[in-house]
Amino acid sequence: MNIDQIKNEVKFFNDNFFREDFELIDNGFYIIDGYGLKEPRKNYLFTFEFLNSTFKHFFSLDYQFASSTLVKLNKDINQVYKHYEDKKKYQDNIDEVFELFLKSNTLFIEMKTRLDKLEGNRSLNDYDNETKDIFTNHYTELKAIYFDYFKSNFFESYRYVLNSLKVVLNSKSYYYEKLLWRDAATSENINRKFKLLHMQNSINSYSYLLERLKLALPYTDESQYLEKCLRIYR
Amino acid sequence: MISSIEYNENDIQNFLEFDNEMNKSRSYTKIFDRLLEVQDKIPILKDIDNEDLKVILQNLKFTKYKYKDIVIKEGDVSQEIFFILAGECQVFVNKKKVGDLKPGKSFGEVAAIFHKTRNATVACSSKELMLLSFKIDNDNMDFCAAALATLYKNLAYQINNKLESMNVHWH
Repeated sequence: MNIDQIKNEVKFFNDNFFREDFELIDNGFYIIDGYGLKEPRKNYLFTFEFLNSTFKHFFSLDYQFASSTLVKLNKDINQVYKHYEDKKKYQDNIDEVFELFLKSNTLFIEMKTRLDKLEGNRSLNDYDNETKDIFTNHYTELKAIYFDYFKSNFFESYRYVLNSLKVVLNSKSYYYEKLLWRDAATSENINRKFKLLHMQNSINSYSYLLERLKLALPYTDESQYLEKCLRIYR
Repeated sequence: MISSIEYNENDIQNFLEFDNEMNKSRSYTKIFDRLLEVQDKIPILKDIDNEDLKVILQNLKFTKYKYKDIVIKEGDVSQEIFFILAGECQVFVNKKKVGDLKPGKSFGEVAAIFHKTRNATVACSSKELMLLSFKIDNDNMDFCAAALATLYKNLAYQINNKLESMNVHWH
């Protein structure tokens, strides 16, 4: 068996599996590094859901409030976030991805077809049964060898993808928040809402979170989440 | 399928405007400036970048106490770490005095790290006591891991020093 061939097959699959993530990461870093945008140390990514729900709320008050930059950023950040959340679940589900690999690999497709045929045949003689056992063992062993290479290559890419998406998302969340409040401040409808909340003098996440916290039931997941967000914008 | 979002020059300018604004507002709050003035004297904050410090410390306070004021009470739930800038404290366990703390010393690390109740009462034993206190903000771990690692290393070093001095005392 050619180890290099196994490595190449595994790498080809994983590169394809993470292709869109790599693209999002490259685009993200192109903007961040290319224009010297901020890579914040605070965890603004944590506040993404708060920011997104605020965006939706403001949009319902005034569908024209967002500038073209904010509209783009909203679309962009939601897309990246979806990928990030989607990839996060593979931490404990590598078997699921490995199954996808097996289903895409010619050698395993052929072996599986043959194995299914042998298992489905009820009129096997002793020789056929022996062949079937040898073949099943061979299949299982080969699968295990492939899995070892798959696992190490997968997690190497996985760690890179998750960490990079986090950095990109954190930077974008930082600007998302800034733009959100800048644009909201220019909308009459939204300002009316701020007036009702008595927050005309400080239109920002901190004041808004304080107001949201007043309405949230204490000791709930929601109030704890908002409190944590509040600490980030302190 | 992902749809590539193209940012134009105007969008980038919008982003960069906030950075300029942020740099202006980087004249830290007075309280943080005060911390930077004394940072060298505080072993647990050694080798931590200023920017990182602002992120990993929360509830930063400079507080004055008077003689006999209780700073922390045994059994209480709180997670501040205290550093003595001036004045002295006495430490009590089960109402028995077990030690004195002088300027340059810190206390409260164990409860801060392990989120346990306070294992001693600390009270001001001088005419006046000036303390710096803060909590550790672990929520930024993903983006500030190196600074938090340094802080925890410094705390471990500090706790180890305390244990060693206790060993000397017992022998």
